[in-house]
Formats: sequence, C-alpha cells, structure tokens
Amino acid sequence: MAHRPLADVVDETLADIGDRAVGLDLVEPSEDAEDEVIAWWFDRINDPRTGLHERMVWYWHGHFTTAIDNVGAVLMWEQHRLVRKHALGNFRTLTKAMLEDGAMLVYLDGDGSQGEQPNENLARELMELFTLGVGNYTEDDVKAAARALSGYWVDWDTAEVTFEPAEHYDRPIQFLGSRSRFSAADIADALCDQTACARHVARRLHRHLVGVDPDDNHLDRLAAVFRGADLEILPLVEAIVRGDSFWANHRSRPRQPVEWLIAATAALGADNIEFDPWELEVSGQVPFNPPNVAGWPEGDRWVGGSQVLGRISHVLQLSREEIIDTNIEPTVDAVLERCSIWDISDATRAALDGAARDQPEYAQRLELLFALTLASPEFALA
Amino acid sequence: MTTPHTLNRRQVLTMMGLGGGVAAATGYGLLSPRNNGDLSSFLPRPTGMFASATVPVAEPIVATNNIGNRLLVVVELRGGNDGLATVIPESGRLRDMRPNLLGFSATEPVPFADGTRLHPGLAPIRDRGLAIVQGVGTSNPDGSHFEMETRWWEGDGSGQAGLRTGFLGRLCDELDIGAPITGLSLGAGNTPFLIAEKATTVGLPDPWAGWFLNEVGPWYENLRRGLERLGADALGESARFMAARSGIDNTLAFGQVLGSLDDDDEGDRGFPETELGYQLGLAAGLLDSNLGVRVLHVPFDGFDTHDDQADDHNEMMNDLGACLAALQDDLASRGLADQTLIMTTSEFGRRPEENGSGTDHGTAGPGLLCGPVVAGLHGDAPDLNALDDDGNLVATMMVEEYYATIAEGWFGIPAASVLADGAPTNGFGADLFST
Repeated sequence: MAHRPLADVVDETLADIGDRAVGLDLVEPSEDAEDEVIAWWFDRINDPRTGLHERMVWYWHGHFTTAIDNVGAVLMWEQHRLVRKHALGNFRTLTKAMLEDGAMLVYLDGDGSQGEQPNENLARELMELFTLGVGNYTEDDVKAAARALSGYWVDWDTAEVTFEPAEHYDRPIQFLGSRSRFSAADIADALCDQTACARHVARRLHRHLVGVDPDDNHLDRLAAVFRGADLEILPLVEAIVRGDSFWANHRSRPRQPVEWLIAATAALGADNIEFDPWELEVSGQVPFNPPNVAGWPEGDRWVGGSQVLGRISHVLQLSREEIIDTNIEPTVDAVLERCSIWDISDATRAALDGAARDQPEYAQRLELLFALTLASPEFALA
Repeated sequence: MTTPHTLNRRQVLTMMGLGGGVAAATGYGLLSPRNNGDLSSFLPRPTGMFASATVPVAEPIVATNNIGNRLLVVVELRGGNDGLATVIPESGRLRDMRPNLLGFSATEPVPFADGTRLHPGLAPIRDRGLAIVQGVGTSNPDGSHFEMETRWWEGDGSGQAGLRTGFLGRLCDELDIGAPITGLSLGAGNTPFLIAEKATTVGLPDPWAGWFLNEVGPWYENLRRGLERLGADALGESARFMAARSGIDNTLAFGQVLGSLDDDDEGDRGFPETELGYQLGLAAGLLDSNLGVRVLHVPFDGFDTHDDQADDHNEMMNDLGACLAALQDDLASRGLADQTLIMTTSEFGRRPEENGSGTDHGTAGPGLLCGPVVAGLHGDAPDLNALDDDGNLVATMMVEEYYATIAEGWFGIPAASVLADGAPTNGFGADLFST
C-alpha cells in the first residue's frame, strides 16, 4: 500500500479550512424551529465542503456551552452565527462577544442580573470553564466578576441584548488583584491577560483534538504559541496538530456520537442520508444540546456500553433501510478498508474473521461485518 | 511518519474529531488496605441524634434482619439542591435572607419536626416515613459543580484522596457475589459513582435501544457471539482500548437486563408520568428481577436553580415526593419494602441569601432517606447565624459520615473498606434504621 507523508495531509487540512459560510443565510429560524436548526447544523457538519472551520465551530459550541433546550432556537441561532464568525478568529474577541451574547446571558443567568444582588452563575463558569480553570481565581473574584457582568437584559423574541447602566454595578471592585471599575469587556480583558488563560484554553483544545491532556512541556509550548499570537486561534490549532502528541496518541480519541455517525454513514456508503436529529438522542448527543455547562463530556464515556448499544441500533436501522452499499465485498478486508481501519488489532481481526465464518450468506455477512466493525474499539477510537 | 494512501483531509479532520478526554479511570485504582472488618473505631454519636416530636408515620417499615438481601436506591439530585427550600427551618433569619423565595407558589410548607417544615411536595414521603440527615457536606467546600460532584461520586469530601473508583462502585465490590449486575444506573448511561474494581456495574440510558440483544435467529446470535469476542480482554492493549472492550462487554450485560424485565412492568404501577417516574418504575422491576442488583442509581437533573427557583424547585420537589412515594408503594406490592433503602445525594446545597429570583451555589444540604428508617431529623442543622466567609452553611456532617452510615448501618460493611484512609467515618450506624 502506498503511503503519503503525514505532513502533506496536515498541510492540506490546515490550508483548506473549508467554506465557513456554507449555507449560513439559508435559515432564519422561528421560535419553535429547534429541530430545523439542529438538522441544518448536522447537515453542515456532514457536508464535505466544510473543514477545519466546522470542526472549530463544533469545539467552541462545547467550550462556550449553551443548550437550545434552555434558550430556544432564535437565541441559539444568533450565538451560532457568532461562533461561526470567530471560530478561527481571536479568543479575546470571542470571549467579549460571548459576554454580550443573548443565549449565553440567558443560559447562565446573566440576563437580568443586577449589580446590587448579582447572579454568580455566568461569572463562575466564565472563570472555571471558559478561561482560567479551577485554582486560578478565588470566591471573591467570582463575586466581584458577577457584579461587573450585571446590567444586561435579553429580549427573547428578538434576541436583542440591552445594557442598562443603572442596573450595572459601577463602583470599583477588587478583581484578580487590581481595584477598578470593570465593564464586561474589562473582565474579559483581565481574564485573557492571565497566563492561566492561554494554558487553560490550550489544554482544553488539546484534549479535544488529541484525546488526552498534553504533558507539561508541550502545554508550556502551546500556551507560549497562543500568547505569542495574541490569542489568535489558528496558530494554536496548528501547533497542536503539528505536535508529536497528535500522532503519538492515535486511537486515543473516543469519537463522540455525532462524529461516529458521520464516519459510520460514510463507511456504509450512505453519505447523503437525512436524519431526524432527535434520533441522535439515544446516542446521548444532539448538536446544540449539551447536557450541562461543561459541554460534551470527555473520556471513556463515549466508548461505554450505552454508546455501543445506540451505535449498533443505528447500524441495524440503516441496513434495514437498505442503505448499505452492496457493491462492497463481504470480506473483512473490504469492510476495514471502507472504515479506514489500517491498524487493526489481533483481537478485533480474530473476532471479525470468526464472524465471517459464522455467517456464510452473502448480504447478511456484509451487514454483520459492518455491525461488528463499527462497534469495534478501532472504530470507536479515532 | 507516513500514513496510508487512503487517508485524506477529511479523515484527518475526523481524527482530530469530536472526541477527547482525560486519562482513563477504568476502575483499576486501589483503595488503601482494608481493615478487615474492625468496627471498634466506629462509635455512634451519643447525643443530638434522634428526632423528636416528628409528625407520626402511620405504618413504619421495619428493616429485614437478613442483611444480605438489603438493597439501595440512590436518587442523585443533580445541579445542587436547595436544602433550605427542602427542609425549611422556621427561622426569622432565613426569612430575612429569602424575601422572595420563602413564599411557595402553590402551598405552604408542611409540618415535619419541631422548628422545621418540609416542602409540601414531600408530604407523601413524610407520611410513609422520612429520615433527614442534616447539614451533609465537606469541610473545605468548592463552588464548582464538577469538583463537588466528583467528591460526592468518589466519596472523598476532601477531593485529595485520589480515589479511582466511585463510592457506590466500592459498595458493589463489597456486595459482589458474582451476580450478573450488582450496580446499575438508569437514565444517563455510565456514572463515575458506580466505577468498581471487580463487581459488574453498568449504566443504561434507554433500555429499549438494546432490543437487538434479545432477538432470536442465527444472525442475531452471530452478532452477539461477535460482540462477545470483541468485548473480551486482549493482552497488552491501551487503557482506552480496554475501556472500549469493556463497553462492548457491558452491552451484552444490557441484554440480560432487558431479558429480565417482565412484560407486567410496562403496565400501570402508579408511577407519575415523568422522566423520574419512568426510571424509578424500571428500577423497581429490575430490583425485583434475577439480575442480582443491590445498588441502583437514578440521576434527577435540574436543581441548579440560579433563576426562577420558585417554580422550578417547586415542580421538582412535587415530582420527587410523588415518585418516591410511588416507588415505596410499588416495592411494598413486590414484597421488597423492608429490604430497600432509598437515599438522595446532591453535590451541594445553595446559598442561604437569595439572588432575587434564585439561589447561587452553596455548601451543605440535607440527605433524604426513605424506607425502613427512623423518621425525623438526624444530626444538627447548620447554623444560619454562623455562615462561612462566602455566606454559606457550615456542614455538620461530612459526606463520608453520611456514606459510612449507609455502608455500616444498612449493609454491615465496615466504613474503612469503602472510604479512604483517614476519612471521617462517624455516622449514625444502625441507629438510623428501624429494626
């Protein structure tokens, strides 16, 4: 089998980030159009014209989490436009925009928070999850930031966000060691200036793209790249993907259900199939609807039994709808090739060979080999 | 490094994909050496334990003496339940701190014990016998959901013990007699709460997704045989591969769960038509099956009431009270009432001072226990006049002590074998239970 240098493929990926505007103007959702919005995005993720940009839209959706169940389609859509705009832009700009985003304000209770009696939810998650990570701020910082983030009101119908100076806490606060009056943008600046911020974002993004945390040396390098680029996002992505850890951790990244489904339907030859997005619910992942403010959970959860259950159910459903490309030879090698598995383990190979022997009948054997290959550890781990 | 010629840009994107995660916690961590059942260090608290003047319970349940048959249902109130709107002290101080939230929208708090009322939604379980362990929390609390959830799941209030298993998982290890499934979580898949070393513990999202595991015919048999081979341990593989193989193995265990559910269980057994009611209805059927389940966990989401607390918390309390009462009645009709303890957990309580329409993250909160329990208040209520520097309650009982009570008092398992070295393990022991 001919081999290409990895660097070429990475170059190609980084050079062609995909069409960031694909179909963006096609949807202007009404309030009850949640299914429509979710389906639209799923189609974009599945669209071969999209690329790295779409990957990063997906990432930021989990980083700056908001759930459509809580905020509805109109606000969610406005936030999505914002994420699409900044996905490969600047982290500081993105953070500032998020602090004035209606969906975020509603999701984390910044909407209507008043300076004298502020709601702490947004302030805490902003520091814990979005910018610094636990241990890099105090409870007093949470309380101070909550005051500084007060004064915003969201109109649910129009997605319009207004700032009421009278509701904002405009006296000086003590925040991260300095005493001053702070606006929401000042809070974002102060957070982005912390060295902990570049490290936190670099660690989270590395974990997302590579599957594991970077070691300390690599994290230092990534954070230095990120800071050196004034928190521009693309240089950080590039440093992660060109880093040794990216390949060294091959098959350490559990595929999340949406990714698994896209890869699986492509392998089966069903690239253009239409899904009811809520069918994804059984797999535990509906775009725009993460389970809590930490975004999509990480780690072994995505290879657990409940995932296998949902996946096999899906494969069987697809094969029942006769979408498997029957031109594929019902052999183990042909199915592995379709599934882009070139490094199969002995144990999985033995299981598939056994299944091929057990099931002599042609079409049924193909279906069985697909079901088992798509359930295998090799396919569950990208 | 080179790659196969089939690898293209799209596959590289897929590889960078949507997965991610920290180092595996697959349940191979080790606890400190067991202390071989030595109970001598365990002394019940001498005073202040027992409730007085509690609203009387019509027919208290007496626990079975057969300790080897005892079962545990854990309802996890996720998001941080507001304990002060659940078990409500009749306190002027609280009224001052809660100008908007103390008036319940529909009904008034109902009497419970001296100086303490209950959310009215809990009246059905009060009337069936409700024990409340007051002020459960940690000595060095954190405001983060995720940090505190982890401490509660691991049974490590300090967050410093570095346990790799969950408290419920370790209970299952102690209770394990080789049953098909000792610990089971319903509704949200796997939970770190149930990570065990040797017992089989599984998390089940929607049981009907596994329909194919009990289909008959040669193709389905071949599928199951193939999954069995894929799920078997293979030598020398990475932690992630091992986790993936054990996930496949667990899938086959789901088949047993499904096979053991009676058709009867689909009928009307009186559970409310809510998500919690559905899961608890399944729970009762599974506890009554031949799987050998001893510990059953059901998450109940939505308690992070920063906003709209009056409506949201009210609704959840009503749901909780109605569902737990239905569960108790159903267990009674199955003859399991004297074997089954129901308890709640929540990662933290909420700030006594409201924020206008809700409450922010707090610290200690009450644990609710239903079944063969000594009804009433247990332990001391946190002092509303002695809050910590963040304006939060100071816990009067450590989460480990709460857990030690379950381990020792309910299951007869020495606390030291399921909690970290040096953890506080005073609790109520068997005194909390009605025998």
